[in-house]
Amino acid sequence: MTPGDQHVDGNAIGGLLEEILVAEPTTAERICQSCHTRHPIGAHRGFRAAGVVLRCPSCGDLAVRVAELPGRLMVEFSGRWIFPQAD
Amino acid sequence: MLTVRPETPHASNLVVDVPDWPGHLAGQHVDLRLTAEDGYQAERSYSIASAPEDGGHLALTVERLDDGEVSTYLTDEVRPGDTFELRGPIGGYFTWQAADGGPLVLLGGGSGLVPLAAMLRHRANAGAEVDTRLLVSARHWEDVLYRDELDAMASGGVDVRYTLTGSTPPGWDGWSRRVDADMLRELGPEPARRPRVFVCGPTPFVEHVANLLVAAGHEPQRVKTERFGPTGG
Amino acid sequence: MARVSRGFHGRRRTDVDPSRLPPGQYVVEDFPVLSAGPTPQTPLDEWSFTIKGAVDTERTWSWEEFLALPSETFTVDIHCVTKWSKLGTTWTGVSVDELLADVETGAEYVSAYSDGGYTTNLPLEDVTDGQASVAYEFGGEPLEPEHGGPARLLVPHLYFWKSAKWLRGLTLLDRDEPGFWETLGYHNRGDPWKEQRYWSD
Repeated sequence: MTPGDQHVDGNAIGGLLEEILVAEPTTAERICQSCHTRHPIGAHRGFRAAGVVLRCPSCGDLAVRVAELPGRLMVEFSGRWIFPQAD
Repeated sequence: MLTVRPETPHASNLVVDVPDWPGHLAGQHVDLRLTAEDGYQAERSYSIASAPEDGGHLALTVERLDDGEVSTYLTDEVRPGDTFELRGPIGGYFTWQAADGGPLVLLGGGSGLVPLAAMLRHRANAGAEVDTRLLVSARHWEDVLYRDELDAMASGGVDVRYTLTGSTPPGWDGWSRRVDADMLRELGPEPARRPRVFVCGPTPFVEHVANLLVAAGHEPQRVKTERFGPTGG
Repeated sequence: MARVSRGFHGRRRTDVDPSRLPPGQYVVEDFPVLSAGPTPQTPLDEWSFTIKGAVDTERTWSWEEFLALPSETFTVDIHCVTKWSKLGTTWTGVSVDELLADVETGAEYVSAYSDGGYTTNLPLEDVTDGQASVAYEFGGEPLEPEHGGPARLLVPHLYFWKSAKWLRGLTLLDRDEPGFWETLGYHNRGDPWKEQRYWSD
């Protein structure tokens, strides 16, 4: 560790990550990486194929890809996600 | 599983008892999973028809699709005492609480009425006097869900309108065409009053109605939609 | 372990020759529609099919030119990774051998690409020697858009996600390039008889 390197273990950020990962997803909002519009996740468009795909309602670009694998989920999130914080 | 009761010729009401139910909001749904003895599984989403005030005695209304392997099981085969796996409540987006206020506009196509019924039941339980207007689109009069209850709500201050796109009974004085701009204008209220609008039904119905609403000047972010996918069986 | 729902059997045919059904699959009579995105609306006069990548020269066919290529009609079983299989489906299309007939390439892999951005990867040896085609008719009728029309890849000996809907071309590659589902945990090859559903299989 060089002087000025201020990192902590990811483990130390666990509390904040937990807050995100247990949040109600459909009222969260997302800013699209392609068209930069902002929509609630509940207003995105969902598709079911081999896995599940969520797309931007404005431009159709990917918001989430999910594969339901045996005993685990593989997920790719795209764009910026905004979660309201509980009071 | 507590009771199964026919609601219309093509739909049944199921009441399921969910232990440790965390509570739900009007408009939310559950995922229901069935497992056959050989491990084959099928999962479907069903809107919750009962009000939050009814707690863990969840009412689901299942439309019977002739080739639907899950809906035919739930309407024909299932009986009190049966158990199945259920995930939920799901979806805080398509919800309404009395505290959110109104005016409230609910537009349901076919069994898209189910989550809207939960909102209306919640409104009644909460004693809310929110300006509320409901448009039910169905093919035939006998397909309309919760008719007696909607009649009672109509005398309790909800403006209930129907449009029948298939056949109409003798003496019918409701609408008998696909939802259009004139119908929505007459239903009201005007977009300037910034109503909260909920549209639920098959995908083509929802697309059509949501486009009409936005074209009429409703703010897109106040028009919330819930579409039934192509595999509703 | 999931609990059994009393009396639930699903709508599956049970009178099936087991030798035709890969492990873990069940037979359906309908034709489920699975899509990772909206159905593209490409007009036929804007449609084209392209072979590109590690080739001597790119080749492109218009819709009319594509229909003029020698076609074949064949009946195969198809197997979806979501566990349904549909037996005895009849298709008409152009074999990939035909499309590659005049192409000089040292490539060993193919990336199939579609309208809407979908891709799937295959070893070249899985799409040659009569094993794959680009189909534009199903059951003697033009292939419906919801099932991948105007034209889809058809590689019936692999899971059906390899049979890309709304196909627009093949990119020949010297190195393998995992596609839309293959990058997200689905098996790189997808042989239903070996039940190669996921990376771990």
